[in-house]
Amino acid sequence: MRQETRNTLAAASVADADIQRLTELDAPAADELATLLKAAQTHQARELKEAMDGMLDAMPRLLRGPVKKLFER
Amino acid sequence: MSALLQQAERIKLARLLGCEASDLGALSQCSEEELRLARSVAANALFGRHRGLFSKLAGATRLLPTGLSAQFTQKFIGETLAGRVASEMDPKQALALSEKLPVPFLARVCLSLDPGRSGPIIRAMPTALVVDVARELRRNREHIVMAQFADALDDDVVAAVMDAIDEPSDLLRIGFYIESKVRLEGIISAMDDERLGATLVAAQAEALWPQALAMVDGTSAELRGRMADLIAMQSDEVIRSAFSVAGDEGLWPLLADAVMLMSPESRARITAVLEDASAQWRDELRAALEARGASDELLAEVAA
Repeated sequence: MRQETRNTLAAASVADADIQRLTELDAPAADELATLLKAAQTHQARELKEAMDGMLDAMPRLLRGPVKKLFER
Repeated sequence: MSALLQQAERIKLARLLGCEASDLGALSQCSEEELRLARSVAANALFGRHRGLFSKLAGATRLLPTGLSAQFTQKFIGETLAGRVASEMDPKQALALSEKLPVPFLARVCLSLDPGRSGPIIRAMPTALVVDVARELRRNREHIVMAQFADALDDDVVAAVMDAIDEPSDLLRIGFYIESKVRLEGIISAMDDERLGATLVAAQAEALWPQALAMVDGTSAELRGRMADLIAMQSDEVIRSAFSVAGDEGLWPLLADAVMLMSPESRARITAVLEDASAQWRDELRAALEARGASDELLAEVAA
């Protein structure tokens, strides 16, 4: 596996042990997985942010503060 | 393991990564085991990333009375986040909450459950609720999620779900994605010949032969033999459609396996249908039988 792929996987929150497991794949396949995983995480982060914002918007003002604080802690 | 099982793994990995199977590039060349490894690593990364946050939300909902928590979940959290939050709940809490939530909402929650962590929660659900959710998932054509359920649930609950599914084609679509061959063997073995035969008719009617053949690929010789005999009991049209798909999709090794395992009477029936069919099919089947090491006697039977 190329070092660049390792770095991309680590940046995508793939644990060291999982990166080690991926050495079973050939380099182009590991590369492809890293690229697709990065894209999926970007999409997921956007989706979760929208859902979180939607959740906070829908809440009564009184609850918003404590819930926001809960996530910031 | 066949190319069909690889195909099932490709579809599952693509679904997790939010792309089409055709977008997998170099991953498309990976074996079934490698694709499963890639999916397991991707799931760990995708579901692990915000786990702390969802764990906090699960903790917060625990502070509310269950009824209020259910209202809060539906009104504010929504199904996408609820699936992730539920994955962080202990099974008792998730069970109490799920009993207060409407089935269509629960079915949508299932789509975002963390497959690696939701097993205990799914197993904690009462059979009747699992069956209701499975019906809803079936209506929404969520066959991959249903297969994940089948892998996680206990035998008796799976049997109840399968009893509740009356469309034979759905059984093929779900079976195609079930990972555990032991589980699949149990499900198919529990089906009587009439029901199993109906899945073969559905395979012909709805172009699901690859799913039907993949479903039994990797199961015991006894079960594959039973399925092979059932294929031979179908109408000429159904049998011909199996051969036609084998020709189009390179499934001859699977059909050859079936022919080797079926009874002599069934083989005679297949041979009779082949006599009126394309010579190319006979040649292809013969070549696949030879490749699998079929005896000269068997080869002569098919060529006769």
